Amino acid sequence: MTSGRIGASYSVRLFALALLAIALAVAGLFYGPVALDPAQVFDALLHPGHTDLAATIVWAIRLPRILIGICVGAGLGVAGAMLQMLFRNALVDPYISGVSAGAALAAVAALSLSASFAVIPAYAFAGGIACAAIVAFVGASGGADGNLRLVLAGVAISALCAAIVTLVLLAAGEAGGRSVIGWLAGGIGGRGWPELGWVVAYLAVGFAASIFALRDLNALRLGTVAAAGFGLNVDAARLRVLAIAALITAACVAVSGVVGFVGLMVPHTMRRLVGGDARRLLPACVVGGACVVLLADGLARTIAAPAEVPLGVVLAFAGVPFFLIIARRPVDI
Amino acid sequence: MSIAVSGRSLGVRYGARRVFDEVDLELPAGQLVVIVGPNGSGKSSLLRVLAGIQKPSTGAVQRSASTLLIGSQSAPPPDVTPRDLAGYGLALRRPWYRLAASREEDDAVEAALARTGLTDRARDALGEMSAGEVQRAWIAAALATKVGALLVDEPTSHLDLRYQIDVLKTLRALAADGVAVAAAVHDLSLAARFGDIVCVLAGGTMIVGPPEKVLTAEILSNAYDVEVSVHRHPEWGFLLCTPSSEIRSRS
Repeated sequence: MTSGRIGASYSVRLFALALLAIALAVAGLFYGPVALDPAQVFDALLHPGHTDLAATIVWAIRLPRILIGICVGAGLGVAGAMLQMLFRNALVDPYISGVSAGAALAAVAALSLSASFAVIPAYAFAGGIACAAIVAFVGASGGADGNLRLVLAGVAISALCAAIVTLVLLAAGEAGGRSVIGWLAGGIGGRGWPELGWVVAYLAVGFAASIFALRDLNALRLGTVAAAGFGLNVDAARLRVLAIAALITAACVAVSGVVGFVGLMVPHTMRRLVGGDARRLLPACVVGGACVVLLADGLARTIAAPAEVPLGVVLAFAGVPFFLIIARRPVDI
Repeated sequence: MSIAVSGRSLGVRYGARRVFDEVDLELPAGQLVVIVGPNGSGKSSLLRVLAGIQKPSTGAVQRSASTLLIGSQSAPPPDVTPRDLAGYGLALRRPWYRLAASREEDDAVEAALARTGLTDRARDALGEMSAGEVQRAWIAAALATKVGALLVDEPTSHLDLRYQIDVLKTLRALAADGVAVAAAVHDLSLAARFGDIVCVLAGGTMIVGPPEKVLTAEILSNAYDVEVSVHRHPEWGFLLCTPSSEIRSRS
């Protein structure tokens, strides 16, 4: 596929994805455990001040949930794309690189200390970047098996973080532990406007920073030798990209717990759709990530209704086969 | 003539294995330096050391200009186009707050693509292009980004005769623009034809000089452990270096 053709049809593809995301978001407003007919939903949307059941469901439950889903999907999609370009490895995502696990551990520690939600993403950022730095250090020792080492290091660090989380939960006692376990399983239900506001604030900083890192990401596509030859300070650029990806992941983890595989599946699929150039790939991952999380959350809410399956569980069922398929063949980043 | 890259008393060892020692090499702006030598003599290591990607075991390298190394393993993702390649490099030169390419950048990319004959293929994916065209795309990127020194590891391997000449002529043109160019090649006659300076790296040492001084039967025979005959083409005047057994079998 030539980039000329990608260029010509890029806006069309992005527009089609955006339409899909909007359709999924609208569907999320209409469907749920409580059946609301379209007139009730429209009425509720037009009258945010009402206190009837329909208005409460739309404004207090469904709308923040959909918007948080869009944020989490967009964030994890972009963070996954950045990490894959950073490590030049299609098997990397926030989950596998250890960023999510580190962020979750720090967030759990903050939650068990009854920290305000406003600072949880900050804790998660510190935890995420610390784990990512350890994983990157182990994986960066290079060689033909560098990628394998990176994935193994991510798995090992994630396991360690999970073990420490268990310890923290045990120490927190039953009451505190149960709410954290629900959060850890990954989900976007039960969050409201204040959480959404904080996530948007953190994501805005991360996304704005990522725009300035597009040139770093594209240079890194050429390999570190060529990037350095063109004048990129490779170590500084990798640190920048890692920090931005960790910040975006931290914002997502703080609100949704550990939602795996979005950061793996979305960049991979979007790369096939719009090519690997960061200037085209990252915007596509914003929209594509929103689509994936909205779709998965729709399933999470409906397949066992009225009970709800954790979002992380739904995504694992889709993501693991995906991982196994792409692990079997080389992918160009 | 300014020196873009200068290496003094360079040595490379891998564990106990000594690759080369006490190698001095200067890459002057505007000249094409060709490095030849048997497999394993350290041509690639020397280029990596000069580019600053590998630390020499001994000695030091001074670079007064940005230095781009195009290695045999520099394979960009297949969807990258020649225009992307040059654009990615140029984007790094922009101030951090300027996001979009300026008119000057676009012009520099177009001019570089035109110089390397890639205007018609500017938007084609490198994955669909021949090895020679990919080499030229790298050279175009070097031109557009105005690197001070371009080091190329085996630019002519896997290329047929036409593309070998094509790539080396492009490298010459780059040198004519004032870039210091160094290329490691295997074909001795091409080295003689295109190099301003030739380096024979063999047996842990390097002999440097103009082609007619360095590409002699004695030096090459010692370097390759094969009897090599050197003579001038009667009409074109270029040095031709041939393994003597082949000459004997012809006569």
